[in-house]
Amino acid sequence: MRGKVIKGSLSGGFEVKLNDGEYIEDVNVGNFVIAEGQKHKFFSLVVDAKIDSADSQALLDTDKENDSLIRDIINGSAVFEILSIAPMLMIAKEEEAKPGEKRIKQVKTIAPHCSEVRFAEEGDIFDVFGMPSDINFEIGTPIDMDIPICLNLNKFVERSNGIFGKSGTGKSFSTRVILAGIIKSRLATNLIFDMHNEYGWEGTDEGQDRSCKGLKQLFNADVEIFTLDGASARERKVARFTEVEIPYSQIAASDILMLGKELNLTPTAEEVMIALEKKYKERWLHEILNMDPLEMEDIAQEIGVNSKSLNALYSRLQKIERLPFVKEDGRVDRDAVDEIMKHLQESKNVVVEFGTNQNLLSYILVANILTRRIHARYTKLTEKALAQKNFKVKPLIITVEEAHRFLDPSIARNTIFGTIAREMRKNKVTLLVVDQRPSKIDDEIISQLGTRLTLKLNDDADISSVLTGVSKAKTLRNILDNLEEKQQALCLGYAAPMPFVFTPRLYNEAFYRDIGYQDFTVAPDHAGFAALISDLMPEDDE
Amino acid sequence: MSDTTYIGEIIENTDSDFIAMAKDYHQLPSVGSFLKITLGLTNIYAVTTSLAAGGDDNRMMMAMGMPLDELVTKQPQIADVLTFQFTGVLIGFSETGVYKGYLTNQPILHSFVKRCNEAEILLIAQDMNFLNTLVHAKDINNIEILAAVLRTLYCLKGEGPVGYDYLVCAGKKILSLSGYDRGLINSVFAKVDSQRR
Ligand SMILES: Nc1ncnc2c1ncn2[C@@H]1O[C@H](COP(=O)(O)OP(=O)(O)OP(=O)(O)O)[C@@H](O)[C@H]1O
Ligand SMILES: [Mg+2]
Repeated sequence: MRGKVIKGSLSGGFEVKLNDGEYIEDVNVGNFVIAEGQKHKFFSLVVDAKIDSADSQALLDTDKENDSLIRDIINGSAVFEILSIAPMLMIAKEEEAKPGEKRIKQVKTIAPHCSEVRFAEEGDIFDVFGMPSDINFEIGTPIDMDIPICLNLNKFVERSNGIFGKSGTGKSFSTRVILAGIIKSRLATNLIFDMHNEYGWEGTDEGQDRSCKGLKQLFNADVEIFTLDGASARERKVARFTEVEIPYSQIAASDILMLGKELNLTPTAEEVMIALEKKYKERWLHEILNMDPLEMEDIAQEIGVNSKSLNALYSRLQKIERLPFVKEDGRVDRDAVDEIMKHLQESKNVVVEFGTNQNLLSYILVANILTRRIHARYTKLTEKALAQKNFKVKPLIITVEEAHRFLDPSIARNTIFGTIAREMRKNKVTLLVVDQRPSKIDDEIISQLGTRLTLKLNDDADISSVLTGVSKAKTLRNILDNLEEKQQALCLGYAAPMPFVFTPRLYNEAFYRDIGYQDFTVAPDHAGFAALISDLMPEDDE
Repeated sequence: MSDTTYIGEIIENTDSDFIAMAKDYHQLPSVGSFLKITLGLTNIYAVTTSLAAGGDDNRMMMAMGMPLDELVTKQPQIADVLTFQFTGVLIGFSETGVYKGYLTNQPILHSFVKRCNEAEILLIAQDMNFLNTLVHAKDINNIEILAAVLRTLYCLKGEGPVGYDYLVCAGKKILSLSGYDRGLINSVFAKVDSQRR
């Protein structure tokens, strides 16, 4: 594609008229293009395309459409196609670069009239996004280009991040690709709440009807699996796992409050639980679940709540009692948090699987309890690190799917996830939120997300939400509206030098190999082995 | 000068056009054909814009009831009275084989005018600047002349895709030179038979 800048402003971007003989249909929204100014290359994104004319009458004059010669003459001259491009960065041309000054800068001026515009090439992309490495992780390819485009993981792990997209667009696959990159880079440790058993061990690829490897299979010793459902893990032949059991004493009133919807809690529940907690401390859940219905009235009076409310709470909490992994304290013999912490401090990554407990009740409860306690431990660790020079804490990234369940505006202020998102990385803990309904997440939290990867979203509110606090939101919105139905994403924010559209890297055999996986289960190649041996020890012919 | 291939001789000129007297009425150039005037090492190029014929200024011409050739055979003195003229508009020049679409000097009176050969026409047609002159020249039949020139070029470039693409480029140039006058485009190209094939 070749064209020329015919109009432009700093705020509105450039309009580009295609050169004669170029086809508008070769250009797609989201393509990278370069406007060659005198002193800078303006690195830009195609954001819109339209038909325009030198004279509006020409647009309406369609009777000549049968005369192909006249039509061919008019097209591209009297009537022509215009691309709107949004300059995102400017790069000083080599001969213009001043020593000691950054070559890549924010856009602060415009390309002159008639500047040449062309598709970006490999060199341009590498100039801006860098060459792939362990730290500069290849997350996919730019659209219509067959070269890697990279995300700076150093920056990525510094802040909380989000991956959004409607169901089936590739959120979980993309998340797995990025997690694999982070694990390989060793820049941070991961705690992954894996509601659908997709991350740890073999997952199924519903779209392709085949299975795909989990992180434990790819990184074996660097990944530990915890599960709420040992039977399911055994059945799925998970290599090694630890069962998680939650004792009553670890469930706080605030954990139950988050389950308002799932437990159908009444408005008085909060008050009752606070009263119970005040009296029984961490034994409150044990006490209420073991209450004699006949004593209920007296106890209500004693702690100063309405007996009907107490009764209602009692019956709602039966659902908790029935969860197979929630147990009386005496029947739990090890503290999952201790064990998870032990692994995390050894720089291992932990996946918490839910097995057959794939309901939101289990998921929210467990993710919340574990995160609350692990965060508290990290807070202590960072305090220690502040005091002791040689003690360093490796950052922890907590991945949660269905994130809006934890970050809903009505609860985000009070939950541990809200706290983590808001305190940035003060305590070395950040979130990777994965969600299909970003509009249901508190705006304030969305705006704290450093880097956002967005696959296709249909809902207007969701699209607006991922653009919260982003400059050029209007331009980017058009790109989001035009994403492919699946496996195409817009990446914007802290870890990306500029917003860009890309096709996420495929999570497949080739990826496993690139990330360093070796399949030891495949029978060795005997002929090859024999050849190798004979190479090493040449036989004597005599 | 004993150059016999010339077809006319300049009898009047300005800085942009000329009138030439035809050497022989059998060899009158057609409107829209390419002409050249050689001055030393320079060839000045032009396009024929009109033809005219006249007689003795003191006597009215009258119908004679026979074709010209027959008339001249029967009354040879008529040939001396009749004059045939053609006009041309100057479009550019070449020196040592390089064409320039502008003029640095004008032909002088009594210069000889010749036809361009194919190679010269293709040289001129490499750049579309000559269209500027043909679109903007005053007091000529721009539409007919443009159409004739384009017909010639279409044939020379090769009827078919190559010629067609040339016409499209020329059309775009005319459109932009004329301030997007689609009426002009429609009239000119209605007179050019072309097919992409
Ligand atoms: N990077 C990828 N590599 C290979 N296949 C992919 C990739 N991304 C998406 N797919 C295909 O698309 C299907 C859906 O992807 P995925 O399960 O990640 O969607 P999702 O957005 O997590 O959906 P849901 O919201 O329902 O969980 C996959 O089963 C797979 O076939
Ligand atoms: Mg998913």
